[in-house]
Amino acid sequence: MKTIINELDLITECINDSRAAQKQLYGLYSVKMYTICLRYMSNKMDAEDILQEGWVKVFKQIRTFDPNRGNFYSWIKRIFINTNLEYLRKKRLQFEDISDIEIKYSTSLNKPIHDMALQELVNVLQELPPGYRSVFNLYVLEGYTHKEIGETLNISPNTSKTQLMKAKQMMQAKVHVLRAV
Amino acid sequence: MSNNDNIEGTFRDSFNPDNITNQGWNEPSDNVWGKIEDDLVKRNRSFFGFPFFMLASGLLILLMGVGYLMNQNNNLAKQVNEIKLELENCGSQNRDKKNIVLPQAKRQSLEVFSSLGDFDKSKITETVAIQTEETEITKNIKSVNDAEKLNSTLETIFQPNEIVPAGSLESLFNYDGILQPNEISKVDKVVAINNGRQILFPEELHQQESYLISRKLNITILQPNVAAPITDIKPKYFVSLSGGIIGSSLVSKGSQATALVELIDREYAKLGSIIEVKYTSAISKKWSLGAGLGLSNQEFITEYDISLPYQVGDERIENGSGYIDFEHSLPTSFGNMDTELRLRRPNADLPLEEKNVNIDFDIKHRFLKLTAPLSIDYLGKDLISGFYFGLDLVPSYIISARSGISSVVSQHSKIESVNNGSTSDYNDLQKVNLALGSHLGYRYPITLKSGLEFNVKYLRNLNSYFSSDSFSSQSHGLQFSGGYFFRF
Repeated sequence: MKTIINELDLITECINDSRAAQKQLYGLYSVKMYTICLRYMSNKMDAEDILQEGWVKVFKQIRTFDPNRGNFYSWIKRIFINTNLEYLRKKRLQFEDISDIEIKYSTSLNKPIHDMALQELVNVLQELPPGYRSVFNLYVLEGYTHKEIGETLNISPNTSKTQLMKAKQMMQAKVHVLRAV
Repeated sequence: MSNNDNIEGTFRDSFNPDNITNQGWNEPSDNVWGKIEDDLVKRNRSFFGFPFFMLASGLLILLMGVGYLMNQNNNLAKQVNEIKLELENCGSQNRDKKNIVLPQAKRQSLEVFSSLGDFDKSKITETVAIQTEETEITKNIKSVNDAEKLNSTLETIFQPNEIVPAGSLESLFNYDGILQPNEISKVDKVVAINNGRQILFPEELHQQESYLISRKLNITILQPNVAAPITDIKPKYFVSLSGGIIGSSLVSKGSQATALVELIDREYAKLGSIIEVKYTSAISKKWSLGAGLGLSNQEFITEYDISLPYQVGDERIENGSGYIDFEHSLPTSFGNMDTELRLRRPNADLPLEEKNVNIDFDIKHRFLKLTAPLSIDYLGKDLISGFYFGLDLVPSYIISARSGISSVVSQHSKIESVNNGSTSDYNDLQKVNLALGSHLGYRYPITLKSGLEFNVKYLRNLNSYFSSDSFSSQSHGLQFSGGYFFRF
């Protein structure tokens, strides 16, 4: 299989429906996109389903990518984030208020959070309720404002703020309890 | 550093794209690519499905129509030749027309033919004879019912393939609703009776003060995307050329999902140009076919139309014929491929047209839309020029929708900003929509067959969506179209 070095050439080939180019593009970004899916989903099976759906969308829409308006990574990342959010909406994403008593502590959280490996952070995220997890991802990792999160998830900005606060509290509680042990 | 900052900073650093490498646990299974490949293959197959079937079907129907038409023309030519031959035979037997011993109608035919001179006989389609003394019944026709009576009478007293003597039709024009003989030249020798039947006056016959009645088909002129017909004249065949600009604005309030779903209804900001050439032809007394080719926003469009009258109970008598208007566009001026079936019902007593039912199947976005518009146009007295306006109350129900809207989203900054530049798919989406609004148009005929038309429409949309979750939105927008229309 001929390997295409230049990313724009690769995208052009994908627009022309070259299966080899599509596979090469998939190989370039699959780990990064799968990691995104893992932080929105609570298990690997769902994350792989979203990964599959997202890539199909990417190849369907790749001709709309405009390199003058941003880099390819940002474009593809937005598609995957939206695919994740759509899946959560279909599953009727709940934004319930969970009391401290209901918080389950991760066994993986056995050290300060800043010393944790990427996989451990993913595990922490996956243990958050879906509403907390979505808001935390959008605010902290994607840089959305609470207003934008509200528009995206069909909730009020105040609900978004509350969900974020609860998500952080849950993480802090884990750290606090384990340090005290 | 606070705990909050600690958490946020740690996550931001760890999930920085540059720090994400293949660590084994974050590598997807080997079978994921296989599934993606399967999906891509299925998508390519479906793309070549229905649209191409419709394209092939449309061309086939068009060819059949042209074939039928050619055959019909041959038959007419044959009939004319037979009559001509009969005339020659009669003429050779008896040079004195007054003493021809033939049935009344036949004798009249001979008289007329002998006075016609060298007129273009190919213009004759169907001819009917008339008995002058019985045309009194056609006076004072002011309503559809009266027109129906006229037609019934004509069918009774006129024999097919017979020709009438000069001056015998004067009484036909002595009532409201049909042009006077001295106005014939204004409409190029074509006069329409209210209920759609027409009398054709070839120019040569008129000059020699002989009239030939032709029962014409009821042809619906399928309105082009931009400009509506300038006149109410309905020729049997015509080629239309239309062009202009079309556009709309959209102010939408709602979430990402609602903003995206708006796109499938084509109620979004757009500004573009369109030019279209279309040929429309009658293939029988009830059917007409049309096919068009155009250019819209640098994309070729094709369009096929079929129209035929429909009749429900006594509706035809009360309100005139309606038309079933089937259109398949690939794609339409808005960049969508769609197929529409409309029932239209013109009201012959009033200058109004009611649009009854609209079934719209959009292939690209895979939705089936049922619309029951209560849209009424006031067309003005002569249906030809001036302002017209209408009110729109359009409830609609989309049974199933799936938006594959990438190309539209990329051009649409408002939607894109709401949606952060990406797109969405919604399976099994149902929508209930109520559109309220009004429109104002102006037709300015430049010649009998060409002119300008402008139309502005304001609509306010109230939408409710039902899918895995339910949501609602409102939007309102201003749509305008304008262009030059020409038929020849």
